[in-house]
Amino acid sequence: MSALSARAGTKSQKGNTPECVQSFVTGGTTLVSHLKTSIRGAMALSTLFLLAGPISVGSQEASPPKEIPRITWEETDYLGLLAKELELKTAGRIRLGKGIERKEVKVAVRDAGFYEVLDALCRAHKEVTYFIEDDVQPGTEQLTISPGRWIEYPASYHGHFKTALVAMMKTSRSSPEGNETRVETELVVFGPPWTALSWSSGAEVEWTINEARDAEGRDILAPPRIGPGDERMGISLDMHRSGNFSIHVVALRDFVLDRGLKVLAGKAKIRTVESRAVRLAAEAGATAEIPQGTLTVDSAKELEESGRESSWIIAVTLKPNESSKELNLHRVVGPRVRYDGDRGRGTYVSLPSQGRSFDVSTPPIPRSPK
Amino acid sequence: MSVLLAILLAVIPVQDDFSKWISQLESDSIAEREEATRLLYALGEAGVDRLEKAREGARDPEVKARLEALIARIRKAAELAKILGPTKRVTIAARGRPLKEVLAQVMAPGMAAIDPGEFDPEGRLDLQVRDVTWWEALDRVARASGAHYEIKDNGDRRVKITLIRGKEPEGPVLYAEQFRISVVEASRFDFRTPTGKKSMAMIVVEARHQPDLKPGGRMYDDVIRFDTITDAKGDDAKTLPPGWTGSRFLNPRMLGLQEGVWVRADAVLPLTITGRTDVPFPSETREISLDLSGEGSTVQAGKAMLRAMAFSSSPGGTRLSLKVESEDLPDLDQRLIPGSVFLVDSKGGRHPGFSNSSSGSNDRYTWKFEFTSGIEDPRRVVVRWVEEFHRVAIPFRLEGVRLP
Repeated sequence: MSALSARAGTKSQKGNTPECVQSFVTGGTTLVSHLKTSIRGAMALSTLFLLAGPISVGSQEASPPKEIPRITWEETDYLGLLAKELELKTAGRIRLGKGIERKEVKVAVRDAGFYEVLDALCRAHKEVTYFIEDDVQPGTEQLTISPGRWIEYPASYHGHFKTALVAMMKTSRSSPEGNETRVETELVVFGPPWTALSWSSGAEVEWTINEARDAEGRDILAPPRIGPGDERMGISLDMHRSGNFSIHVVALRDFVLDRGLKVLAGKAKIRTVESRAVRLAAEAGATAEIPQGTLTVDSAKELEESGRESSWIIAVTLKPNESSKELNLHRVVGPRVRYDGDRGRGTYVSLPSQGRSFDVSTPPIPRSPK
Repeated sequence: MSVLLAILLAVIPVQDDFSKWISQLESDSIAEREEATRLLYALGEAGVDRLEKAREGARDPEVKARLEALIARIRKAAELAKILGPTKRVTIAARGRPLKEVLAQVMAPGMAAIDPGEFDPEGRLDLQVRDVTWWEALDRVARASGAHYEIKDNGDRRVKITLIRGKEPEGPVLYAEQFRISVVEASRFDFRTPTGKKSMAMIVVEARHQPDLKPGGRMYDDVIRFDTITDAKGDDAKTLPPGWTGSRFLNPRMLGLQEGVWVRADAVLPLTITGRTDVPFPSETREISLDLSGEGSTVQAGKAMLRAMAFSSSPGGTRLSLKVESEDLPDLDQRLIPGSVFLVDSKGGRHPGFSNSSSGSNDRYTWKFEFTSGIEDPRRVVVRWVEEFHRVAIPFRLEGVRLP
């Protein structure tokens, strides 16, 4: 027979609570961009890619928050210096990783968008990249030029954005339900540094694929009968890399990978957001006013841990104002949260698809620094 | 006269084709080998002595291995009967009988509803099976009808099996008492980037349990353990997970416990897979009640300490974390029975909780639960906790496995 004890499981003494919770709250301007993308001659044999013919691009339907002019530029200098020059031309921050080979390169572009210029720089250097294929470690979401072989992905440029096809995977499957083959393609839309596109920025990208043809011109756009998720066990093509981009996987009908695609065309509708950080005391009853209503801390419970660290569960509810009642929580609150006592590392919250409440769960952190 | 016949039958030694079946184990035909295996297995514990002698006398190492696996299976069947109760067995002697009547013979209380689907329930069927396991009977009925079947939840976790036109592709299947072990999926992945080509394959083995059995705990990890994957040349075909993909996802079907194994795409086919199941069945459970007054309470459950904490109730919902700690109790994360967590109000009303996340390590584990909002005066939380598991380990050997 076990004993029933009444040992305290939670604590909420003021002296031990982290001083505040920061929540990124989205609001303000919404930028909707429609990027028409057409990738031709895509991904045939290993490194052989062709971007044939004129690339179909459309106009943006909304103005970007900053009008960055297109670039005409011819210069030869060290890569680092040219990257800095590109920063000045566009007001977009470019980070330079450690270990980049010091090499003089030439850039010569006319009426080019940000990524056409950046790609020209990286292509000329040959040993730098800003998209690392197998980088699955959580890294910075800011655009960073790092040492690494420059890879020419089939891509199209639209304004200062770039869309590229970075990988394809054919899955041939046999099961009691029958045999199936499909191909998944991994598409990436890269945002310029002044337009946050990463997952944690709250940006949303809606993809529409209008045309997909294999090397013989056969229509392979119609989705396969069995798609990802129908199998007993599968693997996702998306490797969850970090960067100022958004990834989308499209399932297509079977085609010969070695012969590649003739064309893959579509549209990426981007909804970016401007966000600001809101500080919220981690105490039950604490509130913060935001344009969409009021954020209230329902409770802040300390989960007792051994040693000098505790994890916390802070329950927060949004009370929307009249004009925001229909808004989903995802449209109001960003997923990243930071708190005192954790050297600014922060965590990500899982926002429910319904309802107005969410929990912020911290990993074990030192007890209140104050 | 009938009494005399019964006495005669009892004293006459059992006549069977034991020697023929043993030599059939050397056949090049997978079907013949499987048939011989089935017939030898049907001898049960009474046949173990003869099988052991045959194993000792076998010169072919493959036959030796098959007999070894067979003896282990028979012994396992006896062990399973003690843990899980007797296997549901079926005998069908149908000659031109309506499908609905044949299906009725497979259905039984506590098992599954079987829907003829697109087949005419009055359609005639010929089928003779004698004392086979429930899964084998179902497979034989489906095959005789020219069908395969899908297993789905009929609501309230009741199992509904529906026949679908088209036979299931032939493949190795092992009927081991309450279980059916087979390869349910084989996939080949061909990956292309500008930097090169990579290929890999995956085999998914599933152990289906009888519908009336209820495995416990977490059933997604390590319920199938692979010992060897050998290709036709005798080389090891097993390989490590590739580093070029994103996450792996599992999508098991009802009654199915499954695991996948990575295989070299260039392995010479067919493959032979050996392994064993490791399926937990709760053998001893107890209901634990934790007080919510004040700041929560703790309860000692054997070697584990359970704690209710971070209880909060707001218009948005009611939430609670349940933490368990133990330094020397294995499988902590598998001991909370899914669907067994309820908030109890002051009137005794029970409100189910749904786990939305869980995390932990070997010695501590935390589940977070959500309950419906508006529960009046919640007093305690009750959970069903597994104190002991039986782990059912069934050895298997699947031959003739092919990749797409």
